[in-house]
Amino acid sequence: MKSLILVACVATASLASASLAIGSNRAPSRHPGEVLYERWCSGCHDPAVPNKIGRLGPSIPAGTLVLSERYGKDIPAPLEQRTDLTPELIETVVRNGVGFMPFFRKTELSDAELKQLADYLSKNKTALINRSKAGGAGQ
Amino acid sequence: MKIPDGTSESAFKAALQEFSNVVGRDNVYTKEEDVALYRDAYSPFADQAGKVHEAGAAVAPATVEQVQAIMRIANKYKVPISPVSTGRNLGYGGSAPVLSGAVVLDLKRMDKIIEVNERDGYMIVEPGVSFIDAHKHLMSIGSKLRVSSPEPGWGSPVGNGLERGVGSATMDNFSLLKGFEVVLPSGELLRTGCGAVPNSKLWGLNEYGFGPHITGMFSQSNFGVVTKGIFWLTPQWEATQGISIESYRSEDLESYIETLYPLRNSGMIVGFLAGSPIRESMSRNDGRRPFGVPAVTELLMTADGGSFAQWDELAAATKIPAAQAAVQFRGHPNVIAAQVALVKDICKDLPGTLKLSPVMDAGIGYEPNIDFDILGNQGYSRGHYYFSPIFRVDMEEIYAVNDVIRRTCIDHGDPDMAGYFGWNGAFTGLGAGKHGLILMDILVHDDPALNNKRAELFGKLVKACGARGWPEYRAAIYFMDTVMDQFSFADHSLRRFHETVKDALDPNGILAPGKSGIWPKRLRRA
Repeated sequence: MKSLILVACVATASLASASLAIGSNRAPSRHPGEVLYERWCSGCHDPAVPNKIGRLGPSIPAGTLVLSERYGKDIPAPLEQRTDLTPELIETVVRNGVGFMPFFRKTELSDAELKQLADYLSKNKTALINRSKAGGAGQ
Repeated sequence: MKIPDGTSESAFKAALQEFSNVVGRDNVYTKEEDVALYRDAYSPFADQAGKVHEAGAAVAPATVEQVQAIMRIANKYKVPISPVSTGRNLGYGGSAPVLSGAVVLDLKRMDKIIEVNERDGYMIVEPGVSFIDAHKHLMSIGSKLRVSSPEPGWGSPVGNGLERGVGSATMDNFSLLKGFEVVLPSGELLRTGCGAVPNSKLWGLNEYGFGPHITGMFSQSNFGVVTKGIFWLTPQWEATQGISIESYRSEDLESYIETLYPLRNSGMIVGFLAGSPIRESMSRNDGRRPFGVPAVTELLMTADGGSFAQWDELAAATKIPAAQAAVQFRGHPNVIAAQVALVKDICKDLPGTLKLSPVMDAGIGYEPNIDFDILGNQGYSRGHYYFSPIFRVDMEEIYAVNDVIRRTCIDHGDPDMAGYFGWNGAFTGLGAGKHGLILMDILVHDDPALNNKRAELFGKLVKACGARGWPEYRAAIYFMDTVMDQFSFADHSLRRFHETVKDALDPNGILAPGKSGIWPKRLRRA
């Protein structure tokens, strides 16, 4: 309720640790990029949870919200559902940022980890290309 | 390569070579695309050459010994070093140095959680540990303790605490930081308080030790590099509940505040809000969603901002209250129920309507996450930064702060900013101070002229509020000198005190020059 919203926290404050085990909430996956996605990207890029209420009212992951407004129905907003992502695009966006998405330093996501993340997020596109090359059935 | 003022190129390069010998070449960043990652993603001066704060290079140590060696090398060559913890202080400087060309000391690789003491309620962490990391670790070991996190949670308990940032358990995370291990500018190692007594179990339990209480010296300052911090943790509480009181008469705010605010003195309330929902109803500040009517903005933008009578009439017409105060409790449901009963009794003779929020289960606010609701609610931007005056919590001050903000925006030729901010109530919570706070976020756009205009406005806001006795509690690297200027008693004796300490601890002036307006002698302005 707006009358009882207590603004207890502020943004910005002011997150890759090889020495600290980070648990995953997802089912075990063989792709290390998925673990990295969950750690660094999911907070902003996961699908919206229906009726989720956050501190400021209805809450949709910020990246998904902005992308859904930009793409409408043409392209899925949640990153894991995209089939058009390339490793180059992921790497460029992660290292340069876009809009209010900040860039990530190499002490957070090393070049090797970024490659794993990019491979993971572009997998749908890769799978699509591989099916096309194999002469699989069209969409 | 950007070379910092006061350092020669040959010395700079020699230092970088020696840093490589300490941390390995892969952990020294000198290539343009790597050094570009040491800037503030939310800088209002992004893309403006000469104005944007940029690093000369970066070095990422993994151990305390490496940090010590780096400081010794920096002294040898007089190369400035600017430490960041997780480097996520977006809009306050991020991973950028105050002095352009400085070498950023990226402590992200120092990310060990050294100890969690469940019984005594603290953890010892390195600066590269994030709130999210700490929370996940606590969950994984079955701890009942929780960490007080801002949002998003990728900041550092050490770094955010040293900044005196606001967290979910307290509006003063420094009040939870109880002891440090520090590498001094000379490279010497120090432990504060009882940490200086070998074999003592008291480092996390008694921050004073003996003699002067020095932990505060390392907050918002450039007197040392904190390599370990002791962060007190809060037990998971069972429930939270809020109680509020509201009316359609603006003047009732005074009796609400004077009745409820003193409850803070007994420690019964953990959060307090006071404001005027009708005046706040069209604010888009800090991710708020407007819920009022256009007449609200029209009235706010009149010369005097609207009389009480005018606002009360609008409040009655829209059924949006003109005065409201709220308090929050947390703890065991039995305790909360008793506190609520007491507050109901205290408020029984106050005008207006008392409302109880539902009792909410557990949760220290929310789980630390990468949460960007504030920016997500505001559409496209390149981030934001905060104006954050503090003031005494009373009706006159709350109205005055809002009026000064409004007038300063309009006088600056920025009615859009005045309309965006609208009017905001005050909040306060647990921590070291008994002050109220308003947070005004200023969005960064793609338009450099607009960004510069708003940055100028920021300076005017600092000065206008400072003149009224409402300083900033924290500042971005762009405004540190201006903010420190407001503390001008006895010809700025406080800043001169900082400088005296700085000169003693850091005679070569190498550690984060300019942080909080503290410049070393060799770079000090006249």
